[in-house]
Amino acid sequence: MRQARIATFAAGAAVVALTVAGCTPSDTVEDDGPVTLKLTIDQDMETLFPGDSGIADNIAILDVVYDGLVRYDPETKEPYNYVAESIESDDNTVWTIKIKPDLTFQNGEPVDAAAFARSWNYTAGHPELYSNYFFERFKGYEEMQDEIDDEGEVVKESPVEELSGLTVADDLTLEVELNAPFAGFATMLGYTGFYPVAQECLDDVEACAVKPIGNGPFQITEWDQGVSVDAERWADYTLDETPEDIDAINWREYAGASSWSDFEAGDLDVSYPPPADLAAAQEDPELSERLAEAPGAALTYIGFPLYEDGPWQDKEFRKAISMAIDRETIVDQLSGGLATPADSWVVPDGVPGGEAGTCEWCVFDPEAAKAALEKAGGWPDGETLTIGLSNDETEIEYFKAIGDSIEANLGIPYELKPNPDFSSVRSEQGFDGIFRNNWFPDYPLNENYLAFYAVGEEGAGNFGWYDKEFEDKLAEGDQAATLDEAVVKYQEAEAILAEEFPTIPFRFNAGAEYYSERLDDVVLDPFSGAVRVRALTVTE
Amino acid sequence: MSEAASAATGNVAGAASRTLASDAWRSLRRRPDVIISGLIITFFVVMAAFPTLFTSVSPRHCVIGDAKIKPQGFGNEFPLGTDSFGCDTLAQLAHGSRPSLLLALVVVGTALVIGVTLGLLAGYYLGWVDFVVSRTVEVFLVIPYLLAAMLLLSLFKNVDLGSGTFTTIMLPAIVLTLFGWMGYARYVRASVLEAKNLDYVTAARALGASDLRIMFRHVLPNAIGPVTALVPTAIAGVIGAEAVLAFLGIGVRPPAISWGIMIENGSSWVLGGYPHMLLVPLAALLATVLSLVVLGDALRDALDPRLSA
Repeated sequence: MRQARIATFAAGAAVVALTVAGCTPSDTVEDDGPVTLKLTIDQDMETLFPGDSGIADNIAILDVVYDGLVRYDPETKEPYNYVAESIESDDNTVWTIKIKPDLTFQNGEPVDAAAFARSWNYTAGHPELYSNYFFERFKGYEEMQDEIDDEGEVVKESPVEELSGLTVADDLTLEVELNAPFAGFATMLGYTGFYPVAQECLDDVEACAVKPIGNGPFQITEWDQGVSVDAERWADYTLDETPEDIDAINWREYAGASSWSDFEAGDLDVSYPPPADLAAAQEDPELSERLAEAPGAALTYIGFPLYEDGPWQDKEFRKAISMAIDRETIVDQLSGGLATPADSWVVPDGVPGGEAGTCEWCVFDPEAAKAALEKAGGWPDGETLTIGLSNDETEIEYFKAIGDSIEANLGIPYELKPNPDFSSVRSEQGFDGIFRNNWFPDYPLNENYLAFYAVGEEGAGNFGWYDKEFEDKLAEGDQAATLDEAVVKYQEAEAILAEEFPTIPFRFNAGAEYYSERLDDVVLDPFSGAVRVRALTVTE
Repeated sequence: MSEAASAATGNVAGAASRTLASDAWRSLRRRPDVIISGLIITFFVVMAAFPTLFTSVSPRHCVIGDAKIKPQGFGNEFPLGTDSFGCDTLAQLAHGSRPSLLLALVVVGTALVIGVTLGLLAGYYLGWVDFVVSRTVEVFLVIPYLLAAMLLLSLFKNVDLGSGTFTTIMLPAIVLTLFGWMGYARYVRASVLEAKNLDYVTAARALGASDLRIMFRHVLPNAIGPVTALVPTAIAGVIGAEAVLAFLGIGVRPPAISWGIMIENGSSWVLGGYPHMLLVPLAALLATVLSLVVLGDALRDALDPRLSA
């Protein structure tokens, strides 16, 4: 599951103090020297391997290091062919992908059908990789998986190394056969997990995860883990989407702390202030001109440990929690207008099929909340509701406000449990209270907001929630003849989600970033909210 | 000495009962700065012990719709305003005094017991006991106090002890005690060295008194004076240290509230137009620390006759 951080707030006072002390005036404003774009990495980043990159930061970096088959138009959010010459299918099951000729990786290897096939086969064969689940739709995925017992130990390794549904027809033609029709297949192919990889990369995956060999306009020169990533322009880049003015990029890692003071010192090109500095930034007329905004697509929502016994097993209890949260005021107070309260599971107007108001119980109604809690049998005396979340300081603020709201309206005492290993605790079903979740779409389709709820069996997944009817609806959507028909089926699936209510939508994040004086043409990615580096121009 | 005192008691028995402590008390209660300090400290101690006397609002009752309200004055709903989450500042201040003061008391109390015991043993027995204690004191003294505290607390930052009043202050208490006992040990050792050669101690020993009796009955009462004067200043120091650690995010832990945490939360809003979030807890902290320092100073003057000449 993807965790996005649209804007980094935070006030790790110590870190701020230290970084302020360590700041030197910007040395980037020189006349003839190479132009280095200075960006941030907001959270802990562990890998740069395409098949394993699932957080906003490594997705943003790989976006300039790799070229995908399709890219997305930031305005219309429609995919268009980029490395692909054409992507066609007659029945939405068998797809023929033609690749543009004469493309190479940064090490000279050709970018051909084999480069995509080896990347996809590798990711499909390694369930520990983040993007592995995207390949469940491919024919032959099941046969590739190792047999695993209940404790998660591998009982029998699968001898199959390749997806049977994936064939290299000729150098530049790839044929894909899916398990079932999926109208949105071409839309999905621009995602990070579908990038090609060089053979040299697979020969030493560990090295490649630190220093990827891409086919995009920039190549990584060094990643000093926990400190910064450096990339420089790849001179032999032949396609046209590349920022002409930028010679190098430096991403500095902030790990949840605020980068705002560095931005103010002129040491960064893009940043966003923590809540306390927001008012000052918004009132600064000069700074306000350098604000890029994008409508939000990232949903922050609250999950229940439905794999654990507890009051949350009762839908009335989940409704009570949802209606006790004053989304509007919380978002208003903490986001500075850059997020909107959510009342649906799919971002309205952002992707096909997204509609506002699908969540009936996402309104703030303390009376109804109390009544629902009573109906559910109340909250056990003396117990504390734990709220699991990551160490991100902005999220801690939001969830403190959520907890306050629950405590004030339902009288349920709460405790925040920030945890650096939050994502792994979640995937191991380790929570015993409600917990934070975040999702921004990998590709523009409402199905993408819903598919991860389809876990296939009782008790599985991050939430331990399973509903056969819901999964059938999703499958119906996949098998629809056209994308439009599919979208309607997916909407019906969302309606089932809304009725069963396993999770609570909380807010949609809008993307917003302030940028330095020398940048121009700043456009934010409509999905992740990150700056689209390829569109930038720099004036010195 | 004091004429007024002699006149009041006016007989030999009264003069004989004039101990160092009663002398000190007499001189202290005639200083207005001491009286004011004492009142301020009493006020905050009462607040820490019975926060509900000062506010009927729970510090955890935060309604985000009431966020960032400026102080409205007493008699209104939010006399000292609210913070960025809509929590009542007065309620936070009153309930936040407990962890701050309790931490200081626990740290100084424990450090005092450790320091006095070790100093007494070292000064009394000398020899290898003294060697071990003195070297240990030196080792702890060369470790930079705040650096070590920050290091240890960051290391154990993710240890979960629970959320009771005592468990939330446990980690900072242990760490601050660990680096806070050396001063007492040194002072006591020096005083013991002085006191144990006095005639009455020799006399007691000649009469066959046990080591324990000599130590606690004769040596310690004469050696404890200068240490007592250290205590208020040390308490002030710990309250200050708590604020520093909270500011760095490694002191008393949220959801518990302490003045340090309030200062940390409030500090980022000063420039945003809500200085009361910082000023209220800061004023309480400064008043307490200042009063304790004044008291410590006065106590030192009073307990050391050589200074009052």
